[in-house]
Amino acid sequence: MAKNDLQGALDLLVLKTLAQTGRMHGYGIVLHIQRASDELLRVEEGSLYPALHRMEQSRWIVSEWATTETNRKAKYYKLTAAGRKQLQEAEKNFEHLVKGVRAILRYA
Amino acid sequence: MSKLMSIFARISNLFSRSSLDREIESELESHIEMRIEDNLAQGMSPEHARRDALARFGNPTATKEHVVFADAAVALGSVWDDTRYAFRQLRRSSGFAATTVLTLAIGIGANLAIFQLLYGVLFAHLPVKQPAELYSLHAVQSPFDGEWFFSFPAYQRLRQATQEDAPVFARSGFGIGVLQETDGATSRIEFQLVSDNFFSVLGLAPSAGRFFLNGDDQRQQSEWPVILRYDYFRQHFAPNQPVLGKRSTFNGVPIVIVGVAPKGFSGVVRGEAPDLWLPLAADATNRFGTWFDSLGTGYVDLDRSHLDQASFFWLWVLSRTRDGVKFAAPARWTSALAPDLSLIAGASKNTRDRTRILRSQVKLISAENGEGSLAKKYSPPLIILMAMAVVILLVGCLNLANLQMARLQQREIEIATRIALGASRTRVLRQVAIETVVLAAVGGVLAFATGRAASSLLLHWASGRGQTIPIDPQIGAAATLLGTALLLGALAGFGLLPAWQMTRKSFSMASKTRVGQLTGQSKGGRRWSNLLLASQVSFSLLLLCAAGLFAQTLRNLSRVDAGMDRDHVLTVHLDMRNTGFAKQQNNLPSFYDTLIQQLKALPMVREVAVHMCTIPKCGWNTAVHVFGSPEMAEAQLHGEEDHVGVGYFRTLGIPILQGRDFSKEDNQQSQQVAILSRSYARKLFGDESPLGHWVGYREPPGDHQFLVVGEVADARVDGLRSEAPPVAYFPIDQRPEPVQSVEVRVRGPLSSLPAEIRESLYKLAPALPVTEIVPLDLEFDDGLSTEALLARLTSIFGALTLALAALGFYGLFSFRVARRTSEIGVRMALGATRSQVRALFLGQTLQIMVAGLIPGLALALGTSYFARKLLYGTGRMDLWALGFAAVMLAAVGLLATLVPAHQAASIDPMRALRTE
Repeated sequence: MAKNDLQGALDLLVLKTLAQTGRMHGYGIVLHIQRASDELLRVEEGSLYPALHRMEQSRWIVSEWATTETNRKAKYYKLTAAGRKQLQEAEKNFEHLVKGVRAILRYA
Repeated sequence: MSKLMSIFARISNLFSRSSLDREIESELESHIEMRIEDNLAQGMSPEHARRDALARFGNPTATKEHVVFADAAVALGSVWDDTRYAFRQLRRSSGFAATTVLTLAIGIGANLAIFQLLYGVLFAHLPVKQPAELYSLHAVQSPFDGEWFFSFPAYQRLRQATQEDAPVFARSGFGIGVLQETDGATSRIEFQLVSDNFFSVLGLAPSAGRFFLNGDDQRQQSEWPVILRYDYFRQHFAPNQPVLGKRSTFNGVPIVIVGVAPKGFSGVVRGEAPDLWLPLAADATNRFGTWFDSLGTGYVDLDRSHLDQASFFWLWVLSRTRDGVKFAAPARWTSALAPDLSLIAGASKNTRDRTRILRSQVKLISAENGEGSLAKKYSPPLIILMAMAVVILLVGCLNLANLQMARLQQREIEIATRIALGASRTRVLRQVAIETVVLAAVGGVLAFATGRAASSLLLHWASGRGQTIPIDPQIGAAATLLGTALLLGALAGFGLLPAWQMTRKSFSMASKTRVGQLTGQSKGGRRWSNLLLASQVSFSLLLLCAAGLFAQTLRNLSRVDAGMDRDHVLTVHLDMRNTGFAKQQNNLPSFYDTLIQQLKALPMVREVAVHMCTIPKCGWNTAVHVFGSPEMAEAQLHGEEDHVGVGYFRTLGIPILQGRDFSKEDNQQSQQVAILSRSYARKLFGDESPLGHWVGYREPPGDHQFLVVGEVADARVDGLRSEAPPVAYFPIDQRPEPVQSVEVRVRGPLSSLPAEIRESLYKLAPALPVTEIVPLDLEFDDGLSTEALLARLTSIFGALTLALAALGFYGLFSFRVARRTSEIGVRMALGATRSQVRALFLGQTLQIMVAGLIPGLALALGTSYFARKLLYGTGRMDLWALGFAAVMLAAVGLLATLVPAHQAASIDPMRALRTE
């Protein structure tokens, strides 16, 4: 998150989700983020797919078509080695950002 | 399906790559199908489930969302989604939700209730056809009571001078009588006499039977037709019971029910609701006495019907006047009244008065909102209460705005993250807005329920014992409009403004992350919340002061020296006027004597006395002429009179200042005597003793009638608010009248006696209607019902405002302490003591208090000046009340701050820094 931009937060959440679940389709990612954040965070579904698409092009993730438990065809994503590295980087940057924001809020 | 495809097309257009990839489309399709499946599993309808699934694609990016929003169905689904999210969020902060809902319910409910009454008193039109055409006719005020009365002959003249386009009709005052059913059961009934065209000119249609006809105006009737008020009819008759043609006896006169008035109509006088109406001609029976005035004792014959006597004034005349004849008709009426004007002028001693009366002209006074003094009596207190209710709502909303700001600041990170995740500012604003709307909707529903209940309660409080104000407590259209406007105002004020402020900040943080901007805004936010709290303090002070002043007023009034001992006296109300007793006036003295002996035999009874009037309202106005001083001005002669039995002054504890009390020797064979109250004696004789002077009802030679034998102290027989009137007392044995009250002076508690008195009187005379037995003290308190209402309501408002102030300070400072935990840790690590930390927050509270109390003092002083007519004996109390209210408010604010300040002071510096 070199741009120091919160817009990277969605990438971070998606990467983290894939790291935790191994392999997941877009809908599953949405559900996971919502549940894991105790309903606090909701991914705007319209912006999820452009993000997945972008990350696939950056080769952080790869995709394959498979069938779900309910026998439905869906596109599954999983992390690449580059994606794993990107996740570490993003996590570190986010911590910095949160610290910075906190500091400002506290003394405001 | 084509609609679905077009949405896909729109969504896919949002991708930066222009080529529409088949693969992406099927990926989206599978996502949406999975969502639909889950939605169906949650119990949504198929249609709904599909909409919801699509709607979740609503905001791909902040800039492009309007493309999707073009589809209304999708936007709707999205709102539903946000609403569910809002409920989840509110469940998390249930304290805030409860405070908001309660504030709205109580604040708006109070406004609705008071407005409903105010509207009913001031603005509600009479429920008749085209009320704007209705006018009261005012010609000349009656000599004693100053009412715009007409005599029956005058009314007939007016009616003869009337053309089609301006019909006149008449009504009598309000009377109370005894209805006797065919099975012997009796009940008290309120009645009014009206002209035969009363209902038809008002343009009403009977809800059953008929209204009066021309023939009902005959003076000789074996039974009199009556019309029932709708509510009375509903309360006293079973739904299928035949009512028309039902016969009974009213004040000893046979009546037959011929009709029922329409629902909602209770006459043309606000505040009065006669149970039944009789034709004017029924006065021929001389059994339906109502309020009257006359030219004086020598001009009228009290034992004959009013119908033929031009000196008896007892009718109010109204007219339905079309715009075209608003000038022509009154001129016609004025010339028709010439004989009456000269009669009234002739009775006046004063030349100036005589010319004024002769020059009187008929004026039209709008009766669109009804006649009567209800508005004059109730609008000042209701206007004050209305203002108070608006202020309490304002205080509540200021409080909510502050809480909302604090809450949103706590959610700053969540909101910033949501914006970062692609939610647009409008989306986040909408989210907050929906939360607020959900709260407001719940609060609003409760407010209407509260308002309905409160307006009934208010009516009950305002009415006093026995009598009710006939106003519909149902929240009407005007009040609903007001309630909705207040709700929307509150919504914008406490909900959306802070949110707007908030998202401006978060959005700039998310997109620019400009540090300086962020800090500046937050400082502004703190100033804002200080300002909100200070204004809350100002208005709270105003409410508390009002509560103090009105409570003090009530206390002062109820402790006023009435000039009599009202704590040990029971008043027995009798209604003898229409019984056989009243017919044989010469037997009355011996009847009273037996009655007094009978009651005196009861244990605990010390003294018993009868009198013609009731306390605290007699209203028997009179004029007393002084023998030897014929030049006295009219106003100097006027006062009130009462005919009292032996022992009256002893029973009530009114001291005899000089001369003697009435005794049994003052009877119809002996010299007629009078006793004057101190103020009457002063008016007539100045500093000279009144004893030995002669007075009379009329000009010479009628002024050599009564010998003044005593002077008694003044007593507030007209109620506590008005000064003691001048009263002339005459022995009831010399001038026998049916009495309205028996005063019983009691040894010990008053509670057990009423039953024994009732029983004893029943044994004496079973046919004597005893209407009520009440402690005299209670009768006086009844006269203070508006004062009690004001004191009660403003005290409730005062308590509420204190609670809100406590909540406001506590909420704001807990929030501040929580946010500054680590800063406080640093300060303490650097050597700040616990008391310094505490002082930091208490100092802020003090500043806010001072900033709020100073304008509050000005506000309160201004208001107490405006309301001075409603206050009593609080002149010097104003400053005390102000000071007390200010100290109380400051104490509550400081106490409420002390809790979070103490928490701050007990922070462990090491732990605070470690949680960094």
